[in-house]
Order: sequence, then C-alpha cells, then structure tokens
Amino acid sequence: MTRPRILHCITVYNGRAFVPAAINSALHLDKSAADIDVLVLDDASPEPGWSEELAVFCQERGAFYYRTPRNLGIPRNVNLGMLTALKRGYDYVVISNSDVLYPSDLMSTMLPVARQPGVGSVTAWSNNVSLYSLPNLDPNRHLKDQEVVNWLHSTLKGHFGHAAMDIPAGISFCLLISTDVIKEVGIMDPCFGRGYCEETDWSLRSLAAGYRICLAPGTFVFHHGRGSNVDAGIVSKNLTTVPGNEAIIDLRYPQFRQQVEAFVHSGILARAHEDAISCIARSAAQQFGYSIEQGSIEKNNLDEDRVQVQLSPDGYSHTAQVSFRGFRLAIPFDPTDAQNSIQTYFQREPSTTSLLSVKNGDASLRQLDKNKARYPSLI
Amino acid sequence: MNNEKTIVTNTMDLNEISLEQALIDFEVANARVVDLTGRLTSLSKELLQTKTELATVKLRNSVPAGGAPYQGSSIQNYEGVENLRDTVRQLRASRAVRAASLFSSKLRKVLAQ
Repeated sequence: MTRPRILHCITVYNGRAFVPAAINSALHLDKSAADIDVLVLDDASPEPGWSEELAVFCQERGAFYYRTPRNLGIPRNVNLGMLTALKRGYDYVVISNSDVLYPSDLMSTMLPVARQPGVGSVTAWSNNVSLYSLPNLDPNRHLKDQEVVNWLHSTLKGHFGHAAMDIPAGISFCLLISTDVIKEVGIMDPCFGRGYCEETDWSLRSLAAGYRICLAPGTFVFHHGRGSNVDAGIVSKNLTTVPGNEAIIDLRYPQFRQQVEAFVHSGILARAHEDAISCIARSAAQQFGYSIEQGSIEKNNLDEDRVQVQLSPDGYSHTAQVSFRGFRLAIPFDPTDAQNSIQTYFQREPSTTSLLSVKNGDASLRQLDKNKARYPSLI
Repeated sequence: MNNEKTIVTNTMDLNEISLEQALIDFEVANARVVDLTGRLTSLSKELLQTKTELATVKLRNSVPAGGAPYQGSSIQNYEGVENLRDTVRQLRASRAVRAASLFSSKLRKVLAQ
C-alpha cells in the first residue's frame, strides 16, 4: 500500500493567542503512517499585523499559508481546503479549527478508522466536540498541554484501538475526509454563511450517499472551543450555535433531532464516556500512583495531577469519587474492606491512604500508607 | 482598518482555486435566487387564493372579520330558542305575513304547522 497523502487544513480567523500552538502541534504530527502537509487558511483576519506575523511563522516552520483576499466565512474557507486537497492529489483532507492541540500520534488511529468499510468521515474525540465531548471540569486548566494530550491519546488508543463509533453527524473541529468521498458528496454548502451546522449538512449528505459518519474514540484532540467563532462574531458569548443555520438543518432533515436524541438515549455515548474516563483513571493510577481519602472530609483544593479516590463523598453511599485532571468517575466499593476493593479496581496498591477511623466513639485520622510514617494534611 | 494595504506572502497560491469556486458559488447562489423567487411568487399567489377562500367561507357563515368562529344555536341554549320563537311569533303576527297568507295557500299551510 502506498503512503497516503494528507492535507491538514487549519482554518484561522484572528486567534493570536492560540493559533501558533495549534500549528506547532500539527507540524509535530507523526508522519510514519502518512505524508502530511499543513495548510493554514487565514480567512482575512482583521487583527492588525497578525496575518503578516502568521505568514512568517508558517514560512519559518514549513507550513503552507494562504490568506484569502477577503473574508469568506468558515464554510467557504473550509471548501478551499477541500478543493485544494482534491485538485492537488491528496488522499485525505483534515478540516480543523485553530484552537486545538493534536497528539503527535493522531493519524495512526484516524487513518485506520477512515479505511474501514463505508467510512466517509472521521471525527476525533475531544473535551469539546459537541454532544460527544468527553466531560471534564476545566479542560483549559487541566488538559491544555501537549504532553497531557499525547498521554490521553495514547491511553484512549490503547483501550479503544481503531474502533469506529457511528455518530449522527461529524464535527469539523478535527475531521478527516477521504478526497474520494468529497468527489461524490461535494463540498460544504455556502448557504451556511459565516458558519455553524455546515458540517452537519455535509455529514448528512454523505450519509445519504451511503457513507458512515464515525467518531474515533481511540483519539484525543484538545479543543479550546469557540475561539475563532466568538472572535468573528459568528456566535455571541452566550450562544453556542447559530439559530438561522439550525433552521436550515431542521428544514432539510426533519428527523435529524430525533436521530440525535435516539443516539444519546441509546447509551452508547454514556458507556463510551464511562469506559474512557475509567481507562484514563486506571492508567494514571498505574503510572503515577493514587491515594485513597475520606471523601466526607471536604478539601478545598484537589491535586489534579494525581489520581485521588474519595470514599463516600456524600457521607453515606458506597460510592467513591475518582478525580484526575478534571475527570470525575464514580466507582462502587465495599465499605467493609474499602482499601482492598479500590486496590482491585486499580490493580495496584495505593500510594497513600488516609481514612477516618471511629473506635469506641472516638474519631481519629488513621494513616494507612505502606510505611505508616506520616499523617496527611486533611484536617 | 489598513488591512488592504498590508502585504502578506502566501506560501501556497490558491487564488485560482478560490476564484473558480467563487464563480461556481455565484452561479449556485444565482440559481438559488431564481428558484426561490419562482417559489416565492407561486406561494404568494397560493396565499392570496387561500386568504380569499377563507374570507368567502367566513362571509357565508356570517362571521364578522376577526370575530369568533360561527356556532349554531344549541338545543341546550333555552334563551336562544325562546328568542327565536319570539321572533317567529312576531313574524306570524305581522301585517305583511297576514296579508300574504290571504293570497298563498302554501304560506297558510306553513303557518298552520
């Protein structure tokens, strides 16, 4: 099999604060599975001096750069990328936002998923990918780091492999499409103006043409979200979509909302979320260790860099809350032997255990770590 | 804004692709405008026709414009029935009816019921 050629398009509109990181991240994508060219499509950013700066930045680092003579809006800027891939002989095109961080190993999962029978498009998984988002308390604080993104991707890849989850519609924050599919389905409809919902329309057209719309759960791309769109005034800070464009989708695909509801209620997504966070917590515990603490004792600041297990955070249930880098997971435990049941879950001993022991009506904090040398600073 | 004066060096020239697609987009947009104008015209005609039919139906049912929908007298509505009976009695007793009954056997039969 010949090495596929991928045109990785990053659509840009202003975004001085986050675009360079996204471009750097794209330029560090592992090229062992494919030849990857990075194309930055600057949609006539109005921020003074930014386009010049960006052009130099791209030139110095070996990314292609093109600034449109006038603002096109997201759908037509995306189309420029799709058409360039099509006309310049690329096998795949990636449509991506500019407020993202890619794992270096991204294509080793995205490509095998795209090659599965009938797959028309593959959306990467993320903390911010519409309704498919992997829940996290504060992604900007806990996940916006290249090393963390690489680790999360590698962990999810290890668990989900090349699994393809069929979803109602793709999300173009990081969407891989074969150019053969573009030949058949066409490009984004410019009737969506400055953007939003155009990829839903495209996905549903691809579905009508017989292609699968898939999400790759074995990937993780950090997505800040709405960075360019708020800048461009497409959406206000209080809105997450464009009502006029949703109305077009409702008119063209009257059953789409029901299909989305059916997907959500199928439980596939909830199960995937639980599996993913469980896998992240177990892997982190295996690699970095974990602590068990009395959950009913309130802590103001959790150390999110390590896995912490809080027993019965509500004070009465037999559920422990696992926390790690903004991810939260509830797991059951045996109250008669809490430590052992948690240990079985993580398949290793805890690094520290701090439990409240009540003996003869006298409450005291009991340190159960291996050397029993010091008390934790819980109270 | 002085954006138009700035010089930015593109490292990939996509002007040709962009221009070609802009022309295609224009053609598509134009075709859509023509199509939508046609639809708008025919739907406007349909709307006018429907409004006319509705007005005719309202007039037939003696419903004043903006008034409540027509409702027949209910047999349960005794006050309404009494009013109607009163009107009939007044009609029967009127000079016009009495004079007409002199010349019409059919009317006499109706009044006899």
